Amino acid sequence: MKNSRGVTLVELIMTITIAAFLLGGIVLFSSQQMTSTARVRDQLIALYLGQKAMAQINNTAYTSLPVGTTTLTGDPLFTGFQTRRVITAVSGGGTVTLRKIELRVARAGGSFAQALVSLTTYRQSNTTFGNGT
Amino acid sequence: MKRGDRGAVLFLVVVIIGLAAVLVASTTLFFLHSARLMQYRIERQKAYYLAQAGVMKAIQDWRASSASEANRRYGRSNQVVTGNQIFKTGAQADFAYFTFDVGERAGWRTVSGRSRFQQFRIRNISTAESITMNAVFVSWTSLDPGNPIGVNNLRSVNLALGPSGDYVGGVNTYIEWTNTFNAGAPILLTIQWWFADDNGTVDSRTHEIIAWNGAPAAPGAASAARPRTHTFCIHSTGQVGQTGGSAFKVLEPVRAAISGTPGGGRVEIIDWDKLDKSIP
Repeated sequence: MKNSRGVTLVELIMTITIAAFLLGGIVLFSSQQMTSTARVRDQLIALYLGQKAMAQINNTAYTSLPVGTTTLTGDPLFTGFQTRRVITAVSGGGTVTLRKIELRVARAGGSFAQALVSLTTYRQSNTTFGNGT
Repeated sequence: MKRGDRGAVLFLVVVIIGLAAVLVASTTLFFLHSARLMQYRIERQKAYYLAQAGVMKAIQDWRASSASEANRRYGRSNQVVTGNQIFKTGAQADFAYFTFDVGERAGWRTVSGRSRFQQFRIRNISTAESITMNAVFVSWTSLDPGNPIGVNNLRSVNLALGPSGDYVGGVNTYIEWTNTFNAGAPILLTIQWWFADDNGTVDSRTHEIIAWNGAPAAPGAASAARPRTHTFCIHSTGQVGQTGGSAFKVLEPVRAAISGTPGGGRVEIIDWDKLDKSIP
């Protein structure tokens, strides 16, 4: 039959166009999911690094936590991240002092203003967890 | 194409598109859920450290407040730490913990080879709430590695203290132990008093438990004046999220048992628990 002979140019173009749209959609969709997965992975690592830094702070003598901003040493297991510690004085208290400790974890080279994880707590002078020094 | 097959391609296309849509939707939901779960974990951790901040602030308030024992207190209002992150402290006390280093300190009476810690005082400085001793637990360890030690005859249960109440252990209320292997060997005796408050009113003062060795014991004992150690609980809830309305919030409550003397002396956080529910 005359109508059954091969595929017309119009049909071919339409097929290619539809396939291109589908492929584009799949690529875009995959790209978004990969970005989302990477962000969740980064947040998980950043949370671990933040918890680790906070545990170290809780086990550090108060006198070794001076007011100021410090960029902490990177973790050998998870390179590509940076942690910043900001310590400020909280007013009041008389003979005892209180300090606010903020930890921010960001990708290396990234902005701490857009940190992946940000944790805040207080530490007080001469107060220990357990019978520590 | 046969006449009977007409529409099959359309049907096939619809099925494929439907399957693809389900696949895309489920994958999207999965990743969305993962992202939200991660965000929730982060916010819980934030709230936990905020709760710690509340404990630290409460200790500071207590240490810096009045020198008068009866007026010592800590603040209970919401405190904004950063943005919409706050902590709130409460005062419900239900745990006390004392450690006595027996054998290295004077003040313990010895009766027929048995040692007694007696005539101790426990004070509730709250003016509004009673507290009840629920139980006493004692554990011990030898400070002399070659001499294991046994302890027996514990007697001190169900003590009730009214507001501003004092309990003074009498001659029939004591904690007694026998060094079964080496009489007189030093031991580390750890005494935990568990107590509960009436939890019905909001008191303007903290529940503080003060324990010290009371009046000199009976003849034969060398009773030393012990520093008054204040032991009390602080409940603190960290909150991340909107501070008003019905917006989603993440709450993380903790309870800390504190022991120390007021002023600039060292304070120990002797017990730390994450709780299941926030403090109202």
